[in-house]
Amino acid sequence: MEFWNGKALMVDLGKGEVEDFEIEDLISSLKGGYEIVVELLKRFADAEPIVIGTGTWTASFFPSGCMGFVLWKRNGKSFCLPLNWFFPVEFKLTGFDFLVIKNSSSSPVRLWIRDGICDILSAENLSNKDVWETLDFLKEDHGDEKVQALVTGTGSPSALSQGYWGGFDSIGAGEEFRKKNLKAVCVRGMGSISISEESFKKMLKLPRGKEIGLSIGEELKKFVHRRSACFNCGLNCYPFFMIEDDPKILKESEKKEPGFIALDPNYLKEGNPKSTMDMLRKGVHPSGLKEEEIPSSFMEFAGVDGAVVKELLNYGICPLFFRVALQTDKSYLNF
Amino acid sequence: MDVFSAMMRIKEGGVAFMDEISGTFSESPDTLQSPLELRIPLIGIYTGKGASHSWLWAVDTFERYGFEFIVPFSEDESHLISDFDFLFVAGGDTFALAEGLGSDGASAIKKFVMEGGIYIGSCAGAYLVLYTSKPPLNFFNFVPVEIANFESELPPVRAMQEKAFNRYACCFIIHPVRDEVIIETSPFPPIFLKEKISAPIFGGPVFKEPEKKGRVLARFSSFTDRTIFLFDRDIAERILPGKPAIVEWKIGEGAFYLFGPHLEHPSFKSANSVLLKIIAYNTGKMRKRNSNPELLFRGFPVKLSDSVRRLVSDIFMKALSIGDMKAFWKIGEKYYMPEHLLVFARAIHKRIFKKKIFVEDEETKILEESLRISKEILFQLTPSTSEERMDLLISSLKTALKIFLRAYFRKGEDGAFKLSKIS
Repeated sequence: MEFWNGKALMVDLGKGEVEDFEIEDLISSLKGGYEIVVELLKRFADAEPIVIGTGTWTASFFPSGCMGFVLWKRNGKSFCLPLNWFFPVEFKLTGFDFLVIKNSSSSPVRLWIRDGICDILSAENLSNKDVWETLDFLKEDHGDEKVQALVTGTGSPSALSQGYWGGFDSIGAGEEFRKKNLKAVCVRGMGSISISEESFKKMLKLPRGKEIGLSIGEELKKFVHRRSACFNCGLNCYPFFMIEDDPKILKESEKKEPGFIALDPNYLKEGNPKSTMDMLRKGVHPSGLKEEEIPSSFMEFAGVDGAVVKELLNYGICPLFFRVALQTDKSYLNF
Repeated sequence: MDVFSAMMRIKEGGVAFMDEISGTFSESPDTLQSPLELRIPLIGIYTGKGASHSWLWAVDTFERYGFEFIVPFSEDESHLISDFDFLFVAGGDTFALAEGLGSDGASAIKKFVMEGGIYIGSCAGAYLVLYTSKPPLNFFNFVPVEIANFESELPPVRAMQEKAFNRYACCFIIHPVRDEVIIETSPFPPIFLKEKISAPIFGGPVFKEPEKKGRVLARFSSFTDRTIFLFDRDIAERILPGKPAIVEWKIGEGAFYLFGPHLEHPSFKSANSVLLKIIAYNTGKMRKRNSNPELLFRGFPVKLSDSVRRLVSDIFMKALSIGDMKAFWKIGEKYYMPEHLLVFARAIHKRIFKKKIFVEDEETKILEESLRISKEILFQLTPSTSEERMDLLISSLKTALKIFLRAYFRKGEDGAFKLSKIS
C-alpha cells in the first residue's frame, strides 16, 4: 500500500494490552490521516481514546512531510494538537500509521514503539522527572540518541512536549496523558514505507522552499547559533539559541544543556531565554490551557485557519510550507 | 538475456540456458550451439571462526539475483561441505579461518573439489588455499599460485596504518590500495567477455602468474577516484596493473576460483555479473549433487517470537546509533570497527520482519541466546571495551545470523532443503 503501513496500533492502558489491526479499508475510503482519526475516535469512543495520527505523505519525499497530530475529545468536544519536527515521521516508520490509546493505567507507564512492536513499560521512576530528565532517561534506557518522544513534564497545567523542544500544546494534550497515567510515548522508526517510482519523481519536482526570515527581537538574535528544520523541509524555521556557550562557536557545545529550540515561537515572546528554557524543561506552555479545538498559536505560526490545518493533516504536510512554498496552490496535492 | 535475467527467470520457475561456446544466455536451448541448462545451485557460505562480515555481502548478492539455496555454516560443520554445489569463503582473518576449519575442514574441502565441487574464495578465502609452509595454513595447500603483494621490507604507510599490511614470517603482505579498482576480464569461459569493470578490494591478494592448471580470468587494470592508496602510488602502480585478479585452478572434477577483489559486494553490479557467470557456467557443467533426503524440510513456517524480534530491533537500533563511534578492535589479524557491527545487525533486521521462516525450537533457543549476549555487550560497548568482549560479540552475532539465515532460506517440502543436524 503506497505511503501507508496499513496498520494501526491499539494500546489498552486499562488492561495493559497491545494489539494491531488492519486499516486498509479506512485508508482507501477516506481522504487521509485526519479523517481516519476522526473515524477511529468514533469507533472507540467508549474507551475515551487519545489517537495519534500521521498523514498520507508523512515520512515521504513530499517536502515538509513531517506532520502528525494528536486527537481526543473532552466533554464531547474535539481537540487537535498538530505535531511537527520528527516524532510523526519516526512513529510512521515504526510500522504503524495510527496509535489508539484507550482507557487509563492504574500506575504511571510509558510506551516504547519500534519495528512493529509496542511495550507498555513502567514509568514509576519518571513521575517526578521533568521533560528533559525524562528524555535523557529514555535515550539512555533505549540505547539510542535518535529516539523521539511525546513527553509530559512537571508543569501544571502539563503541556505535551515533542522531545526537548516543547510544541503547541496549549489545549491540554499533556493533561489527557496525565489522566491516563501515561508519561511518554517513545518511538524509533527503522522501517520504511512504499513509494512508487512515479510518485518519487513527482515529489522531487515539487518546490523545496527556502529559509524563512526570523521574526524575533534583536536581543534574542544574538543567541542564534544555527537554524534547524523539521523532517524534509527547506524552510529551516527553527533557530537554536545558544545560551550557556558562545553562539559563534562552529561546533556543538560540550555543555550538557547549552541552549534550546522552541517549536512554538510563543515561547520566545517574553524575550528571556532562561525562562524559556525553564518552561521547556518543566513542560509548560506559555499560553497555559485554552479551550481551543486547534491551538491558536499553531495557526498563527502557520498563517492559516483551522480548516486548512485539518485539510493538510490529512496529507501530513506542514501548513506553513503549504502557504509559503506552495503558495496555497492545491494542485500540488493532486497526486 | 544477461546472467541476471537468466537467473531471475529460473527463480520464477522458468528455464534458462547458457551457451558453453559463446557464453550467451537464452530461454530456449534451440538458439544456442551447446546449451547448458541452468539451475539454482546449493551454496554453502562459511560463517565461522575467522570469517568477518563480508560473507553477508555474498548473502545479499546471491539473494538479490535469485540464488536462494544458501546454507551458512560454521567451523564445526565441515561435514556439510560435501552436500554443497559451491562453497563460498569470503574475507576475514586467514590464519583464523585455517584454525577454525582445521585439518578436517581442509580434507573436506579437498574431497569436495576433487569430486566436482566449486570453491570460491574471496580475499582471505583466496589466501587460505594458497601454498604456505606455516601451520595451520599448510593444511590448505591446494593452489600453488604465489602473491605479488609480498615485500621483504615495509614501505612507508601513507594511510590506514592498521589495514595497510600483515606481517608474515620475516616479511609483509602489503595492501597497496583499498576500495574501488578497475579489473579487466578475459574473453574465455566462464566469463566470455573482455571488459573493464570496477570492483572493491579490501586487503585481497594480487596474484602472480599461475602455472600449469591455472588460468587468469581477470587482471588488475587501473585505479579510480575512489581508490585509496595506503602506500605511495608508485608502489600500487608497480604491484597491481597487469597482475592476475581472478584465478581459476582446476583439480579433479572441480575447481578453485580465487578473487583478490570482492566480486560479491552488492554495490558493484558488474563485479556481481562476473561472479554469477562463474556460478552459472559451472552449475550448467556440474552434475546435480544435492539429492540428500535429509535436506527436505517438513513442517510449517513460523513467525519468530516477539522476544526475538525485540532483541533484533534493539541490536539494530544500537548498532545504528554507534556507527560513528571512533574505535577499533583487533581480533586476530582483523580490525573491527562499529560500522562492521551494523552490517551484521542490518542483515538480520532487514529480513526478520519480512516473512515466516522454517525454524526448529532448538534453533530458536540458540538464536535467542546469541542475540541476548550480543545485545548485552553491544549496549555496554565503549571504545575501551576489551578485544575479548568484542570477539564474543562478533561470534554471537555470527551464530545468530547463521541460525537465522539458514532458517530464512529454507523452503517448504517441495524440493526444499533442511540441514537438520546442526550444532
